[in-house]
Amino acid sequence: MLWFGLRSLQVLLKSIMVTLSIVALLFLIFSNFHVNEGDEDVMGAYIEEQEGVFAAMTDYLIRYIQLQNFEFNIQAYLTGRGTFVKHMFSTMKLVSATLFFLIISVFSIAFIRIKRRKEKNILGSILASISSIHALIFLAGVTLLFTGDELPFWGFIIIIAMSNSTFKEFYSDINSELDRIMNEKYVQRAVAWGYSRIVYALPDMVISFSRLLTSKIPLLLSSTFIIEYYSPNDSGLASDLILGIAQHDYFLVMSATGVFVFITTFLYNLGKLPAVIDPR
Amino acid sequence: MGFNYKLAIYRTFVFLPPSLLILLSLFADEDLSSVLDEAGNIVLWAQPSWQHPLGTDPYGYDVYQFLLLAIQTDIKLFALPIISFFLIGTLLGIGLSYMQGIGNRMFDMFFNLMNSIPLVLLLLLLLIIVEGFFSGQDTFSKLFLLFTAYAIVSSSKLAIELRGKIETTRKKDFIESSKALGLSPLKILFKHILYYNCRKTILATTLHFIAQLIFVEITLAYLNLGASGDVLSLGNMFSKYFSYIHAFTKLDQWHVAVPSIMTLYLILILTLSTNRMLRHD
Repeated sequence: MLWFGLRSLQVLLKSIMVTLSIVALLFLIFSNFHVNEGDEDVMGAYIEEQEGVFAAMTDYLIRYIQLQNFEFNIQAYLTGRGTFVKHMFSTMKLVSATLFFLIISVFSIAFIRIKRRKEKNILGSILASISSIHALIFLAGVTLLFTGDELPFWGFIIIIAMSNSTFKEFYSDINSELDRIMNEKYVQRAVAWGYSRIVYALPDMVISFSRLLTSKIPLLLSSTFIIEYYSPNDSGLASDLILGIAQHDYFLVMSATGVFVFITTFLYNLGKLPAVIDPR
Repeated sequence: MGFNYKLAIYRTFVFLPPSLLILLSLFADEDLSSVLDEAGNIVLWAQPSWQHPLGTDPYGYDVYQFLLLAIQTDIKLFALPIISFFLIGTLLGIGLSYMQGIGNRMFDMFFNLMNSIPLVLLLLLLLIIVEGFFSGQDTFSKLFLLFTAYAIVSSSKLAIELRGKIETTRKKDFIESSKALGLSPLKILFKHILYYNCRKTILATTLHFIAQLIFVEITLAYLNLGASGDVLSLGNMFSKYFSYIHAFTKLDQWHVAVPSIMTLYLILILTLSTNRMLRHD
């Protein structure tokens, strides 16, 4: 138990350290460009003033170390925006709902394939082919189905899950992993002795799939950009990032990127946790 | 051996329409203006005719001319990035296959780092860098720089694939025989390993990269961060027509689906060609 606690702590610390280092790096790069508000080209002017990019970077680095140019208050920033945390949860809601939908659909089709080994899995092949379509074209198609109405939340989930080869990647990876587990000697032996195949394969499946599924989070996060831009009511981290780039608000860009990196790293490390439990 | 009809149909379907479109786009009139009738009014949603083979769109533009210009712009935007991807990826792949130790490990670390960043996020970060360092440039130049930077970063994928392929091929018996016969190492590498054994891998990865570039260009234009205004790319066309997508339900306003169908077709032939090459590799 102590060993498990220490390993969990190690994984969590690792994810926090990685996130903090990336956030610090991004902060170092971008925070300067938020110093002066307004429409003028702050970055270009600054570089011109310092006579070149490298001179500007050196000057900025020195000023940053001396903390002379450190002019922002994170609390004021967050209360000013007011919605940043809400947006984070909105994105996570979209991603987790899609992940749930993918788990249910892909596993159902994969288990049907295992049960009916002799028959060709046409449904899986068709869905995998459809998923090669670009999310925007899929969005255009789904929009046509709801002419005049707003797209429902489940519509967005289907678009993220079924486009940009997301379903295809989940389906092929899970199928090959499932085949590997089901062909393990100990599972075959359990089946020969009359035990349930699923019950014996379950620990291996939990370990393997938790790692596999969490590694696919970046893929889902990529698709949220299109959805959040399309639907202003469902603003999230991605729409914040786009807004930040459009308005040259590099602090917003840095914050949103930092949270993206944190979510990805944290969930990836969380996916590794079941492997810690397993003594193998 | 009879005539292979299936292969002939496949090749006609894959090579003829894109080649024709590319050829026609080279001679397209670069001035895109709204089509006017005799009374001087803008002609909207016109059906196909000899003068306007694909009719006119909700802005009064000739859809056919718009499409050719979009293809022309995309060729200009993607030409150098594709060549950079191909050359850098191949050279890096060759270099890595002969490199041992820390260099290889460093490259693997860099590759893993690049792969762990979501594609759109990576693009947006590259966009910020391009915006910051080349703020005085026009939209086309910025996009050109962005895609070139993206190609350089992505070339690591080709390098990784090629490294594995070269390492496997080098262990084969015929390479030993070639050495014993006295062939020069350069001839073995470029002719026997790269050309005879790796060319399909290189081509398949490059075709996949082209499909990815089309995806990326359209996505950026849709997010209002890519081609806009006078940069008439496929993405710009798509985002311009996207707001009229509901018009597609009326059968006489089918023009809005042209960029979507074009994109689907291009991606389909690129994916088919990639799969076919990998199957025969």
